[in-house]
Amino acid sequence: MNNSNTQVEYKISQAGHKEDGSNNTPETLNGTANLAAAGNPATHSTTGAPVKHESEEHASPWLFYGFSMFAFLLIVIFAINATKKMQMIPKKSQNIGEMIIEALYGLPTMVMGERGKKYAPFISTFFLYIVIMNLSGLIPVFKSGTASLSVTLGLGIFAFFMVQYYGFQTHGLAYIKHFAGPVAWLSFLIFPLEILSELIRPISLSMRLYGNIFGEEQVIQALSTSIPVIGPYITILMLPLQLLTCVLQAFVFSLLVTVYISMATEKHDDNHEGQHA
Amino acid sequence: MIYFAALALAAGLGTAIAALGCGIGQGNAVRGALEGLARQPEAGGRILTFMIIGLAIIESLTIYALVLGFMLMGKLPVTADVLAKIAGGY
Repeated sequence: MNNSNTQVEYKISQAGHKEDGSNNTPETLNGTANLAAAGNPATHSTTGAPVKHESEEHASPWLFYGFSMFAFLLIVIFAINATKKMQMIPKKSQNIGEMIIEALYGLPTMVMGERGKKYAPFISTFFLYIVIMNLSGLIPVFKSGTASLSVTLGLGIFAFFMVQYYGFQTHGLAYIKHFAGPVAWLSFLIFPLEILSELIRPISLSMRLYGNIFGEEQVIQALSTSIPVIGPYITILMLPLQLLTCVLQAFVFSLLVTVYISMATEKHDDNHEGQHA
Repeated sequence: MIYFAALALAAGLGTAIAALGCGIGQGNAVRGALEGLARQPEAGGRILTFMIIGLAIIESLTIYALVLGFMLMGKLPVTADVLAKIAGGY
């Protein structure tokens, strides 16, 4: 399973191979996925022509967009199947759909209380989309959509803009006062710090997800190529860890987006009442 | 040549040093979770949930260093080419 995963992954990464004949060193002509020799050519090969590096040999981004589209289609087909002919006592896929929605709506309610219901569809979409994308990387021929920085950065930027939108929706223009900090006369110092910490959030969200998912498949590739005889068969031991990471990282992503939304939209009414009393 | 030596050192040591801090941090997190669990075993499920969330966030700092390690590893040269260059003079 994982053996064919790494073999096909290597073939996929070879698909965008160099057109110039510069990669003719004997190590790179070797058919097996020898990461140390074949994956990292130098700036100039022995023939003197420039050679691309491993970082430029990654699979084309369109492959990851295709797999993220696959996850999207999977969710849409399941949703359409679950919501046609809805009955009061649900059967089959409507039952599963209701179970999933009930579990997913518990997350914003746990973090934000009752006003979490308003943001629950948005957050559940993140969780479902990311977990399906992550898990599809475990299927032999597939790759995770989130193993590409483009996809995760897109998710992070989208989450960032939606958090700002919810903040403005709740507070109007007074949302800017959220960045001012607690004391009024220090606000010009605190303002850039808060803006910076707000801007770093999509980057940290996307890097966390990308690093976990891409790192898992890189670890499996490194394991299967560096241990001489039983390498590809040892990688099955990474499977439980990979399963845990997929679900956990989707959960952490949605939980962090929930926390950001709750921080952006919280109303300080009870604080003011306490001070006036 | 010093460039490649420094690159190799950075690629190797970066994640290792990040994992050092991550180990200490996650050890503290689990210690707090276990102490809370020992005081009140009925709260086991909630404590486990928050512990897992905290561990994932602490781990993400090491993951940033790991991603940098991958980027640096991609810029390392092949050993055969480096040896050929050394044999043929700098």
